[in-house]
Amino acid sequence: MDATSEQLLWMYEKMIEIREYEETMVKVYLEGKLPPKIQKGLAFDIGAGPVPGEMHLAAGQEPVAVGVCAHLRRDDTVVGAHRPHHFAIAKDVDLNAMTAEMFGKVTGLGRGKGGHMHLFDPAVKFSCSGIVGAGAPQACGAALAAKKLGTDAVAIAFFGEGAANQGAFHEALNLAALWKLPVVFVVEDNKYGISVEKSASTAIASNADRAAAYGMPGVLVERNDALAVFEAAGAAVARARRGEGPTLIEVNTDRYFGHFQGDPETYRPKDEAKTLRQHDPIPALATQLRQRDLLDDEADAALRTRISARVQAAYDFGRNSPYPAPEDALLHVFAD
Amino acid sequence: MTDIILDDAVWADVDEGTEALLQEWQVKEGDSVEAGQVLGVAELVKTSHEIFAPSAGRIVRLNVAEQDTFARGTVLAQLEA
Amino acid sequence: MSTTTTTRRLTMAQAIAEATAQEMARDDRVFVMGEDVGKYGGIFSATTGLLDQFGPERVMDTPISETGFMGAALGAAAEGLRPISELMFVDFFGVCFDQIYNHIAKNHYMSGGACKYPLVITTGIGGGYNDAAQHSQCLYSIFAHVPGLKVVVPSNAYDAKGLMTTAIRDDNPVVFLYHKGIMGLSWMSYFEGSTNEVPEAQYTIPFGQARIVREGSDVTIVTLSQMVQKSVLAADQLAAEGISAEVLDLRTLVPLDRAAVLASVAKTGRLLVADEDYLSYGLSGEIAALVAENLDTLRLKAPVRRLAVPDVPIPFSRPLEQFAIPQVDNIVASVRGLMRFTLA
Repeated sequence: MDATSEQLLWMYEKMIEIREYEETMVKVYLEGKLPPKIQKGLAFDIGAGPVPGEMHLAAGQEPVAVGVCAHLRRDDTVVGAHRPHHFAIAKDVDLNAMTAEMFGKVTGLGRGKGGHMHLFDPAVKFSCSGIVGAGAPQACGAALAAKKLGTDAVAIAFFGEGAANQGAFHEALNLAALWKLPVVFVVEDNKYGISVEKSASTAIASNADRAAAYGMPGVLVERNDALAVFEAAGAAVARARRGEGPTLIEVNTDRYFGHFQGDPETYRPKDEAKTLRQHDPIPALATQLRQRDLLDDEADAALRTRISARVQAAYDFGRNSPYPAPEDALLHVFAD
Repeated sequence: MTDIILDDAVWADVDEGTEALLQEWQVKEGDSVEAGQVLGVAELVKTSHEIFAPSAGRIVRLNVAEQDTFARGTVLAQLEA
Repeated sequence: MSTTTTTRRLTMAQAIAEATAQEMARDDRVFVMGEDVGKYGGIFSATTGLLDQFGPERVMDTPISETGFMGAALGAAAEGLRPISELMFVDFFGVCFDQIYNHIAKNHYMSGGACKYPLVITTGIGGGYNDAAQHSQCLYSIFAHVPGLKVVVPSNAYDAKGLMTTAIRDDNPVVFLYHKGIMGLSWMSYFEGSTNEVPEAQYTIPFGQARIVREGSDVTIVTLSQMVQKSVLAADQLAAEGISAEVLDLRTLVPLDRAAVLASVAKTGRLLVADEDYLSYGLSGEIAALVAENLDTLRLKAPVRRLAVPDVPIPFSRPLEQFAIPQVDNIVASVRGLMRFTLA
């Protein structure tokens, strides 16, 4: 299945938006967290600054998000994990509200209650959670609902290669195949589960090989490339929409930053990220676009300016929005 | 008198103005040390870095106390050959 | 050869790692498993240095397979090994709780005492640094509620080393919950008092012995973990107002030092339970019930007061989280409130 011009340009723009969002967050996240402005005796204060708490960035992993989401409709469900920004952006989650959520503001997706790992945008059927593997069964549920309601919507579960060793993953795969659910499981293999390399956590080389054991096709995308992901995902999504059941896709991708921001990454060779960036998927797609006469310097500059403005506006919205009142903590335990 | 600083290379990718934390000293004033000996540990953002003696000698002064922060280029201690 | 015991100030993380290392050196059967416990040294530094000292056969990085390795801990303990199995965040207990509460907790009982499971589950607890609902909980009450698990919650480095040594030597399953905010990490703001003098030599602290951290006569604050440190700061403020607060650090929930609680409340006549776990159906209710059951032998000057998370998930945003998790100010205000009563 070939990508249309619109799809190609969409993927390119989305990857740039994701990359710019993540690179901006690297700086914003550090605000207020470093000496000398923090408590004495600390080199870093995770709870300080405008964007406190943990932060897991997805720079490098853009192709997985755009290659899959290029095939999705608004009414398709995406369930992500603790590193969710690229999926959220590719699923057209409200960027302003998403950013405000990370600043803990009342205008955030969760009114400041969820934070960066717990983003919920029901308008585009996006959710994510911080418990590894928890999303897979949830995506099955969305797929089950689509089947019962007679729509041809699909559900995508995104998680890392570390999650493929969690019990929930195995149960979800069996359930999806048994009930022929319109779900696609997408494993982002960025080679590390925090500090543990895949070879030290997983008994086989590729999770795509596990798929057959569960009764579904398994596809390995060996290159961190948007078009390669697009092709595999297109087939899987179409299969699901036709009612033929689930697929497992594993993508070999690259994590440019640490597991979380502030991760000293002592388990990784010092210049690994620099080496990985030599195969940056964004310029690679740009080359493809230029070859098809879909992009030139002027157009590239124009879209980058537009995207920068959008990203900047989102961060400004996050910064300038008000905090919730402290007593709001008591609200929303139960629905009325 | 020789100045002991944290290797400047360590500050390469870090934003201007960021300070490091002196975690611990492993020597006291008056101690004799060898060239290359680890004198203490500092932490910059979240990475630990050892502080080395550039030459042999006696530690004359420790200028930065444990758990205090310091800027790039700060003379952390001084030694006399 | 000198026989004096040297002490140095250690962080709680260092104390736990030292206790573990010393036991591993003493007893070949002790080994550690968990996520990122090896090269990384544990996400909260509880196993720093162990891989270098003991090698990968005794310090094992596991896949993200909690049911797998918790169950394996049980199986290994049954065979006479002494595993220390780390659950990275207590919040993750859900993915392996069957192994813990239906097997690890109950097998010794169901076997009529025939089978033993000498294992320790270490885990990180607590919030206050914006890690939101799935990474900030305490939940020691849930483990304490299930018969068959010993539950240990240290508030400082000295206690942590002694309690961890006892835990490893205990032939029963022990859940050892360390609050991330008092581990002395260089990347999380802290309350004073958890980093303190720790002897180099090995020592044990028995379970079931609470400790009076600060003596007082007007009110008893029963507390644990990071809340001990907040209570001490509150007590300092209250002292300036002429209120004398006694701070009682429970240290272990199972076994629970009921006698110490009752003795202190009998002395002061006022009880505040300061707990970072959820309010309802947990530790604070347990302490209140204990006192209520003993009103024939002690007299209360005020109703029991409980300070805890008001039955909401821990919110992310700073003002919300500060509201939900009891702060020093809340402890001070609660005690002032208690002082307004003098019941017969």
